[in-house]
Amino acid sequence: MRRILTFLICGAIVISAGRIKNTEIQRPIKIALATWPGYAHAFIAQEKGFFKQNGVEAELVLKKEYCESVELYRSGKVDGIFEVFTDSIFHNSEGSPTKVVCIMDYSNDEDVIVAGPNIDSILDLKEKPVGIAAINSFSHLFVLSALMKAGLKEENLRFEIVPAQQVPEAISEGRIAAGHTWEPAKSRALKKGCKVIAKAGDTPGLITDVLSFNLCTTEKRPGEIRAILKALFRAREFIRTNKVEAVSIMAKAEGMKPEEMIMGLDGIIQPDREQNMLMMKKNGNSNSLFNIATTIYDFYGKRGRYFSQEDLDNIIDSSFLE
Amino acid sequence: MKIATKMMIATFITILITAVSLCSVMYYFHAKTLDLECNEAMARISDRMLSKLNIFLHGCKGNIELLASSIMFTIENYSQPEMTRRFLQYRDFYKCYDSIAVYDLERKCIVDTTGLNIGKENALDGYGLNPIIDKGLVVGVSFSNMLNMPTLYFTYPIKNSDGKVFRIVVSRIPMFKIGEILKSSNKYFFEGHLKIDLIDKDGTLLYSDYNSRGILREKTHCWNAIESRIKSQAEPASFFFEDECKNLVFVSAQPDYLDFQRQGWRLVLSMPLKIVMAPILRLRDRMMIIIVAAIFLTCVIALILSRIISLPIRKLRIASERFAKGDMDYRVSIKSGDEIEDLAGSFNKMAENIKGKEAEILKENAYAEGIISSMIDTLIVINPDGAVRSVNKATCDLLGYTEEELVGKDVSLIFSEEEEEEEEEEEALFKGKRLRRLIEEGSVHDFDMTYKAKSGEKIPVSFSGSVMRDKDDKLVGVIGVARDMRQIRKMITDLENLSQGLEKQVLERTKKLSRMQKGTLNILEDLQATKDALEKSKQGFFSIVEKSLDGVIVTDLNGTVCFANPSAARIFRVKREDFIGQSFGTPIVEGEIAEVSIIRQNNETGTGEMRVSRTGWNGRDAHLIIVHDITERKKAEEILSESYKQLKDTQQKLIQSEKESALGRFSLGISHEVKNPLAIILGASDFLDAKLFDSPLDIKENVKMIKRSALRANNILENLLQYMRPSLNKNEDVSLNLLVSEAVKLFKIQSSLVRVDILTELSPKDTRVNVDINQIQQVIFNLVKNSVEACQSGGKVIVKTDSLGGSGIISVIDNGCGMSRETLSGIFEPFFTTKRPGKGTGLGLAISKTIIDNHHGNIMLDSEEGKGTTIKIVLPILKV
Repeated sequence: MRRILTFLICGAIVISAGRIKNTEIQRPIKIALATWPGYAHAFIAQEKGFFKQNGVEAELVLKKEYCESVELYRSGKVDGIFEVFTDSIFHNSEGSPTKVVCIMDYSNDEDVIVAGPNIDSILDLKEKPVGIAAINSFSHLFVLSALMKAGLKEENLRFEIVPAQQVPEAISEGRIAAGHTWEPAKSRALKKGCKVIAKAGDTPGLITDVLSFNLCTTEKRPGEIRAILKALFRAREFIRTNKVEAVSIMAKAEGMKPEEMIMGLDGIIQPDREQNMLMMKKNGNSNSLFNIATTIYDFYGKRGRYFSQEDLDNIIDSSFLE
Repeated sequence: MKIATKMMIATFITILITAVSLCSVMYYFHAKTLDLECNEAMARISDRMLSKLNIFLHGCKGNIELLASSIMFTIENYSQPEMTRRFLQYRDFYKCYDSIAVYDLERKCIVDTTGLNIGKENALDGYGLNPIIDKGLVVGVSFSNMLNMPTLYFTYPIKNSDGKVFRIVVSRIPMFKIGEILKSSNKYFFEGHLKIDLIDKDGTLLYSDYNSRGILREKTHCWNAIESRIKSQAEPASFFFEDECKNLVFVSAQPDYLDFQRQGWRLVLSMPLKIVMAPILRLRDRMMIIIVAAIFLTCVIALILSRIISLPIRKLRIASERFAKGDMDYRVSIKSGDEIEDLAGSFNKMAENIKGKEAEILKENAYAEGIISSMIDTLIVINPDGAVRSVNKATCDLLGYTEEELVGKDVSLIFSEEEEEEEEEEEALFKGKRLRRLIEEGSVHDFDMTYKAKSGEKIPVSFSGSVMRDKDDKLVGVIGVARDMRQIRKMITDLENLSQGLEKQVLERTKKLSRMQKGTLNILEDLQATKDALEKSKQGFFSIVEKSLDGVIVTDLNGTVCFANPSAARIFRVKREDFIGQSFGTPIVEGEIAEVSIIRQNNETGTGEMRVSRTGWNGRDAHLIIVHDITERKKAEEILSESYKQLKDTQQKLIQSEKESALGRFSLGISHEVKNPLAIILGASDFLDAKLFDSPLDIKENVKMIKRSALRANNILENLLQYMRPSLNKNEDVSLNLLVSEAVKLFKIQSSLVRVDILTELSPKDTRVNVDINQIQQVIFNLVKNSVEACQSGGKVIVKTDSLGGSGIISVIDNGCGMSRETLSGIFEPFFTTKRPGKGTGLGLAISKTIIDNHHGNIMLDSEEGKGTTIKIVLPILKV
């Protein structure tokens, strides 16, 4: 009898140990990101060990172009991504369930439409080619919104696919009259005599950067996601208190000059935890993701992409901030 | 393993098997049902999806045909923004087109709702113009580089007013839109788990709701399996199967009415089996929990029950263990009312029996040990290897060793080595390989050996040994008993010396008695003459057998009588003719002489001597039996024997009388010589006593002492004279009871101060004897006196009379100090006394014996030291 009981107890211990082992051996959470000042503080968290201090192993995978990082996420090789809110919606409609866990920033002066010397206003762009990152992308949305807001009609617009960091050169070459870009290309364009004819701040919240994770990670590793968010907020605190060092770390990580990084940071607004909570609520302020979504619905709905308000409820999840 | 555990395991296994069997059956039927239901559901969903898709595609087809026939596009007057605006209206209305564009036949983009490439040459990539121009509508799915996504395109030629194709219109629908249409058809059936693939004829993904990157790049995940099934089917039909990744896959072939433009698209629906089977898995899990709980509960109950059931067995086990440890009084009490109770009863009975047997064995062991330990002879047990196994106390005492010093040691420690060298060959059993020899012999008896004591002393012993073997005849040891011969040897030596002395004495005495023997010799000569007469009469018997008085019989070796003479027939009282041919009857032993009862000539019964010898009869071996009448001889021998006995008695008496007469003469001489001076001393002392009346007291005392001593010496001499002088009996007839009672009364009067009870037990049957009353009373007086003196204060003396046969018996019994064997042997000798000097002459019993002997009676004495003495006088009864 004693032997049977011992056997059962041993079995239970082995099974428990196995489970404990399974939870203990966790690979680091991989997060993709592109060159963008609003994401750069993630490198401070990494450099300063804020991730580890919060008990989480996070690995940042940097891509130069935004499209590349999105592709990386779609391929399933990373667990999360720093991206524009629009793309988080697309992932869901394309069969990759994704949740937005935190708003990183919304672009104010950072996303701009720079125009060549001959263009004085947006209206001058009628039937002139304008550079966008891709058709149906947030860039397309931003530019189209800015142009239509200025009074131009869609049938009068011409677009060219030009990556944001190539816009100054494309303008110089005369391929496009204006184009959507950000740092560091923005500074470069300005240096070349281009001028800003529109900025993201004109259409508040339209370009909102978020941190998103696939559904599998949010369900299985919520604690680690919370730890990552804590580390990121601490990194922002570090920027405020140790700006020189912080800028140095961020600029170096993203291959930018410190002054470009400083300008980039100046061009974005990074909401703190409370603001985040507010922006991720349904009846929050005007910058609320749910409000921004109306514009996005209109734009994409017309173009054969369908998603509903219910989809948004599933996409936006502020519980990790609590 | 204990019974309780076994029972529990048996219960556990039974429940487990039952539960697993039940679960398996339930699982199988549930799974089957669920599988069928799932397939039916997937088939319905698939039909619904394809119907919706078909409607949508027909709608798109109608739209593009309508656009192509619109006057805005058929004439060239309209500007690009105007046309774009019209397309945008279409786009915004239908909400399914990503872009709508118009190209001329040089592939130049004229209109595009995306605002891209307008006015650019060769902007139309990927679409063949000729099919569009020839066929009209062309539908396909391709990856649009411009839109950076897979698109479903519809192309349609635009004809001018002359009916000639001059432009083409292209509408692009993102494949996600197709996905939305498909997904919108299923809101209930495993939404979120059902995976939808739309594939073309080659299996290439046109849409996948879970593998968007694979669209137009990859084939559906189980294309090989699907392809093989399609090829094996004559008509394309819907089917389902289970793929390698444990998914249930349903492949829907489009019926004709759904096969838009004969595209041959197929819908592949797949769902993980674990999702399909989730209800049954949940059921299984719950059942497992219930089973585990039930098993646990059952095990607990089984454990308790098995404990209860096995309790009596445990009791029995405990009882057995205690019994095995020697607790023979322990008994088990079980009242279970089953076979175990019977078993317990049997156990108790067995215990009782064993206890009884053990007690017997112990008793026997104790008895045997008592015998061994009390043995005077030494006992030694030797192992087959020559080591001493055990010894008894006598061995240790004899040799001076302790038992521990001997046990385990080689036997040579005891057996003297010199013995081996000195002994004769006959006694070589114990030389060198003595034990081996003893073992070969089996046993030895009374071998003279020498033991070696611890002190080095050599002790002669008489050794007897025997080999011990077990039931398999295997040697287990040798047991030896030895007797210390020192005392015996010494006694033999002493005896030899004694016998030599005695021989010498007898020779001397014999010479003295030779004269007396002459009379005896005369009797012997008479006897011899009688014997000779008998011999002569024997010789005078007939020599011829027929006339012989001896019976002569011849028998064959079987004992059948072959011949018998008349005497033989007479002797055995049979007719001679009847005798021959019969069995002789009496056992015949050749060469031996036997006495048989015979009929003599005077028809009296007599004794015959039968001699058997081997002879021949009619050429065969036969026995010759001669039966001789020895009746007379026997009588003569008896007379001779009686005479010899009388002679011996006479010789003994002569020796005694010679001794006594010598002593008597000596005593008489002495007595006469002594009595005269004594008379003078007595007379003188009387004279002095009278004369010294006024003398000092000490002088008077001394004179009285002289007188008392002279009287005592005179008394002794009187006794001695009485013993020695052959007195004549003045016999009278007297009652034995009277004789005794008078004697006792007389003693009581004379010894009134004696504190001993003197009782008389007179026989109710009075016996009369012819005796000298004074002498016999003196004898009784002497005997009672001795008995009283042997008793301490409070003792008891009984004087009994009795008669037995022709004798009257007087017994004097006391419970005094008794006598030792040494005392008894000389009790009737004259002057033998155990009393202090001056207290007795040692002549009382000698005189008594003489008196009784003179009355032809007998005096017997039986005494045990410390318990008392019994003296019996046997007197012949007066025959009336």
